[in-house]
Amino acid sequence: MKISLLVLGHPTSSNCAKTALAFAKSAITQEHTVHRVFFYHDAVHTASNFVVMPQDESNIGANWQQFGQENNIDMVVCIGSALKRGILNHTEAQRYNRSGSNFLDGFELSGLGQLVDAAIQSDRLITFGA
Amino acid sequence: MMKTIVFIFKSTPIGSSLSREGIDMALAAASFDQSVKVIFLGDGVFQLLKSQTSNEMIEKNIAKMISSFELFGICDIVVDKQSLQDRSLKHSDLIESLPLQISTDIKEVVNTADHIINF
Repeated sequence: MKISLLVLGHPTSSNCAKTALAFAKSAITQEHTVHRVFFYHDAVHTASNFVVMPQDESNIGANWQQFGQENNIDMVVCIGSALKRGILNHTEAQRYNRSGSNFLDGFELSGLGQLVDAAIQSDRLITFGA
Repeated sequence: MMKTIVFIFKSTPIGSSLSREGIDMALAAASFDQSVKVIFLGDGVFQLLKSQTSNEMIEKNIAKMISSFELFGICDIVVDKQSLQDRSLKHSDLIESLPLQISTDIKEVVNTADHIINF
């Protein structure tokens, strides 16, 4: 089955980023296709490369990054939500004259159209709520 | 390709940006020619209160955004009757310019969905 994921919750304040990743890994193990993962609302923070976690806790953004690269997953972060929350890639940081960018490689900033496209292309769209 | 996407809105209009972001997504799906149906359930029914106004605290008026649903082709707007009753709300408290279907069985709409998105 072709599955897409919509992730809404903050990666640190909620556990939905972890649950979504566990689900995605399980889907791949069971030979489904993960078509796209769309990060919206507070989940855009998953793509921040400024996160510093204590040594005994995992960095969920880095874990998603690794999973995405190993399995060639399209990981999209909603640009509207991200800009409002201060998650900027290099292009947007230049465009809005901000002092730096903080976007993890392997994620991509794009619009809600990508989520709609995921809904059109996928058999299942699963929401991991806030 | 057109799919039927049902949005279930359960968040309060203020207090979290989830309500606004859910509406943005429903409007995006509709503008990409998908068949969009919307269900207001639980605290989500507060988003339909006609008494909402913008001020410096509340910059975006959710009720105004919802009023544009028909313009975008979203005509199936369902409100859960029990959720209204539990909150002592009546149909007359809600936005007037939209065709609202007060429903006692939202499963009927949910069962028509290719995808269900919860906000």
